[in-house]
Amino acid sequence: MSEMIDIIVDSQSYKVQNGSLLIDLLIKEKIKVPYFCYHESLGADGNCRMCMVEIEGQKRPQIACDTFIKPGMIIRSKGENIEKVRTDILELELINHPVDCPICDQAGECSLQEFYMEYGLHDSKISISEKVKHSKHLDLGSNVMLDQERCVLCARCTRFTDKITYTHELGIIGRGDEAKVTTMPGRKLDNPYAMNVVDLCPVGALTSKDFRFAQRVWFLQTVDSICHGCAKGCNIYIDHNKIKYQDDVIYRFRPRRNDNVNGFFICDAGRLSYKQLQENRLESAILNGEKITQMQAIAKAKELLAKHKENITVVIDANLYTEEIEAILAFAKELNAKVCSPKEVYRDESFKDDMLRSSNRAANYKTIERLNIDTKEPDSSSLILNFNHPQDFEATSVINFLTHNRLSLGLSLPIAAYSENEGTLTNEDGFTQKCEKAIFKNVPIPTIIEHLIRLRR
Amino acid sequence: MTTAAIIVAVASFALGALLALLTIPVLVWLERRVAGLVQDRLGPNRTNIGGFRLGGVVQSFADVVKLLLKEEYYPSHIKSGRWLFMLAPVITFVAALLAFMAIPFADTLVINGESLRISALPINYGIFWYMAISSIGVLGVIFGGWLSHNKYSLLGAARAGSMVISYELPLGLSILAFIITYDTIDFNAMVQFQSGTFFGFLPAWGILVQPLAAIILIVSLFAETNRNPFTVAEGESEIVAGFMTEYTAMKFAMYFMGEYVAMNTASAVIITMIFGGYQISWVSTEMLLENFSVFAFSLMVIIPLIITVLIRWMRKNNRVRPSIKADGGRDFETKVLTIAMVGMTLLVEAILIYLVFLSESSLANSIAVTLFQIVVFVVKLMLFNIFFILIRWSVPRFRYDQVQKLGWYYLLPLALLNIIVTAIVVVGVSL
Amino acid sequence: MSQHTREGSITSDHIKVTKRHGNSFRDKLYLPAIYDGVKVTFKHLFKNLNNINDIETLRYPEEQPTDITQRWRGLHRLTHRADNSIACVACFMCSTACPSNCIFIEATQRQDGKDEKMPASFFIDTLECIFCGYCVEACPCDAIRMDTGIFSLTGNKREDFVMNKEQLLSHKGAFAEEISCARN
Repeated sequence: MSEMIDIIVDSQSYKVQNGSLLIDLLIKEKIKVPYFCYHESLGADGNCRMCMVEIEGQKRPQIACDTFIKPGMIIRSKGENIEKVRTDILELELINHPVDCPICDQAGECSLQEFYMEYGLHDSKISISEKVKHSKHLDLGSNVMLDQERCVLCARCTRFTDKITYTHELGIIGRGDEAKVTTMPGRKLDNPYAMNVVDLCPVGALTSKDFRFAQRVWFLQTVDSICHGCAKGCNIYIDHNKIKYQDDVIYRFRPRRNDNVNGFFICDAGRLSYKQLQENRLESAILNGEKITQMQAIAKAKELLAKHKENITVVIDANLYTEEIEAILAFAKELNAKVCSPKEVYRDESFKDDMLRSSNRAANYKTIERLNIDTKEPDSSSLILNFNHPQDFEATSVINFLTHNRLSLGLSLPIAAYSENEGTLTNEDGFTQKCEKAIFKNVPIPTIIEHLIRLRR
Repeated sequence: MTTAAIIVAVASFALGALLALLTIPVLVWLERRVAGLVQDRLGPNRTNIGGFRLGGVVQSFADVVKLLLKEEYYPSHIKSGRWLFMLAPVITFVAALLAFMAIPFADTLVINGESLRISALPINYGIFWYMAISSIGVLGVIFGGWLSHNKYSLLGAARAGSMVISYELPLGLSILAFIITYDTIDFNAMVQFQSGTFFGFLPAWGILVQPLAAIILIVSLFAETNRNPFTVAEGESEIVAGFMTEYTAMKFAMYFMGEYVAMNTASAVIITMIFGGYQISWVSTEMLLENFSVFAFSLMVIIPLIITVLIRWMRKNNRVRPSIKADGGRDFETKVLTIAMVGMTLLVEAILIYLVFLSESSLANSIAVTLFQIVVFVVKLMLFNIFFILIRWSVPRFRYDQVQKLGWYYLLPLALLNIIVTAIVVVGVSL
Repeated sequence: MSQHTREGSITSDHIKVTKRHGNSFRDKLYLPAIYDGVKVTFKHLFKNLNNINDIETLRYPEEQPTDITQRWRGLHRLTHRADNSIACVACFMCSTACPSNCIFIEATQRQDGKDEKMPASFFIDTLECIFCGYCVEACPCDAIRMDTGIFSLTGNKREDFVMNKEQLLSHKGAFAEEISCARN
């Protein structure tokens, strides 16, 4: 298997492993080939017949997803012949498709749309008075909506529940034009990774109930980021949009492929964590329950720092970026303050599973460990600087730097959430990954580093 | 000074101020309506007070109210020279206004052997007064543009400054030619000169006696008033609004009105110097006084004729199209105006009859002649203002360098040549 | 050398020489040209002064325009289906096509069972609108049209010009086609 051989695709030579799948090569080399059913994580199924290529010496076109590379293969992925085959297959796919793109959430990122624009553009030769009717909006559970009419029966979703989650909720029943994806009667799609079928579905058959009708996808801007749900550090895309005259809003998280960390998927908890990120944000400084301006808050904080010079403890959240943690450490050193990051609050054994979910719910816990920060509860001190740590602490005075509103006494200053800032995180396996800044708010909330600069002034 | 002299002086001054100031709204309206008619449009014709629209002239008063009530915006970036920034439009306006004051509106009125000038400023060096005062006007433009601290304004000011040196010389030289010809610097004497004849039959108007100097004078005065085709300092297609860019509300209105006063003044100077001023050609004031009854009879015939034509025109045009139901009070307005016109005509006729048949006073006769000359002057003034406006809507703007080229390369040599020829001819004739 | 051959290949009949204006003495004198110009303006002035009602200007509030055709782009409207329900399915095609981004739509689940999606709110900011008609072109459901023939839009404040869904639905088409022509 490990032997490297030469093959020719579209009169260009490539070096590949003998016996590997042809479609993997085509995808890797970005040679355009349409496919619905093949997915790198799910393997070949060969039911959609879209990935047809011509192989020299073979009578008929072959599907690339089920062709193993042999030495001396000469392959054509373009040409009149092969394009006609693709057009014809696409025409068959579209016989019963409802073509309701205007109301379909997938429109804009739909494989069927893309392939039609690329290979189809045909006038249908088949005239049927009525298309076959199925259920249009079936709530499968776990935030997944099913539209059976739009389905192209690629079986990616059923293979996902069979091969990835081993929960086997979905299946295809019926034959011919009556075939449809469904769950067992009375059963729902129910597993912590269920919403990945929405990303897997190449068409608009499976859509997210959470994202349903929220935005058209072509309005969204995509930014690379890392999920902050647990220490796994799954790679995600943040899809956000700033509607005219409104603020920048995140509409969804999507998994980003990273074979070292999360593969192709993320868990539903992480996918929906964008809601908590945006809800109930602390937007102005608060002193004992009353709103004050940022300048007043900084002045008050300076006053407190000067008053309790002797006995200060700094508490750091293990979800902060490495850069922020290091800046806080430098600041604490200037103040001669003790530093700690109590870890008990991050442990959640019930969250853990053997796929992507970790029992440690702090995204940057590895950095806390690397920098030898004390992970015990703070001793009694006269002033506690709490940098977004989820716990509340008892002290004479407390200065909180918080992303979200929380019932707490003392002085609270708002800080930017991770989507409004950029930085790096180290996950539990030691991979250091970068988050880009996604959200540009109309009224930006200062980051921790900006606060520290002001406090030093 | 006698009482009569004081009355005449006050009346002349009031008349001068009225002619300079009251013509502004009329000229603004005239400009817009003439522009409209020239371009097959209507122009402002809607604004009215109680149905009286007077062809739309009310619009100008509405504009004045608007400009007065506008927010007095003051650009915050102007730190130094604020007072001069405010003063600049006033300089332009006042200079144009004062320059108008030396214009005679009628011939000298002789009351009890005392000659009284009918002009706002009874001076006998009018042309120098005009040249001295009107040249100050450009200072306002330069100050305004310079103090606006704005590149467009500064460019406009620079253009105004360089234009001044290109037209002032030909202007002065052409006036010099007239001074040599008329042998006077008194406007009134110039008009009296022009009431004579030339080659026996031509009226001795400046335009016929000195055609080249007349053309140079007209062109230079167009430049002096910043009117098309010489609006390079404003240059709205290139430099926003030139020196006026930062001006708003009444500050802007001062420049705006200053332009019209300057145009009015230039018209007055032109008609005084080259179109016979308040005189009708071939007829001098003495002839009018000597043959007063002939003059009065002809007036008695001509005035009803003119009024009839006016009324007919008004009845034809001051109404809506037949397809429109609502007439907006136009019929009523026409009726009232017709009655007013007929009444005025009857009044004038009655006065003329009284003067010819019943009155023995020569003073009354000379006052009547003076009033007639004032009317002639105003009519000529308005006609030349319309000419100014027509030129604006006929001739495209000169490019900035073309103005200078015109001034330096063409007008200045021609004016010099004209002076030499004039001098030779004048000296030759007097030998 | 190459220039030489190029010159050699062009014969004199290929070259069209345009005579430049402004070089004759008459042109340089400039005054005759001004005279010609003023003659034209005078002609128009007197013609129009003689009969002002011949000027073709529309006397607007009294005279209404008569030349508004079906293709003329007036104020927008949202059409209905044959069963009087809203034709719009909130596909956002119009707001995507809009060059001035003045269409603000919020989509929601449709409850009447006719379709899946409908606009919860549909705003057109007519102050920002440039009346290009791209929204009409883009609409796959014939749900937005500009055939109301409404050309005059007045209001006392900015908010008056932001048309909401109900206002847009209440506008009537000025021509024969009243309901949406799309598949109902």
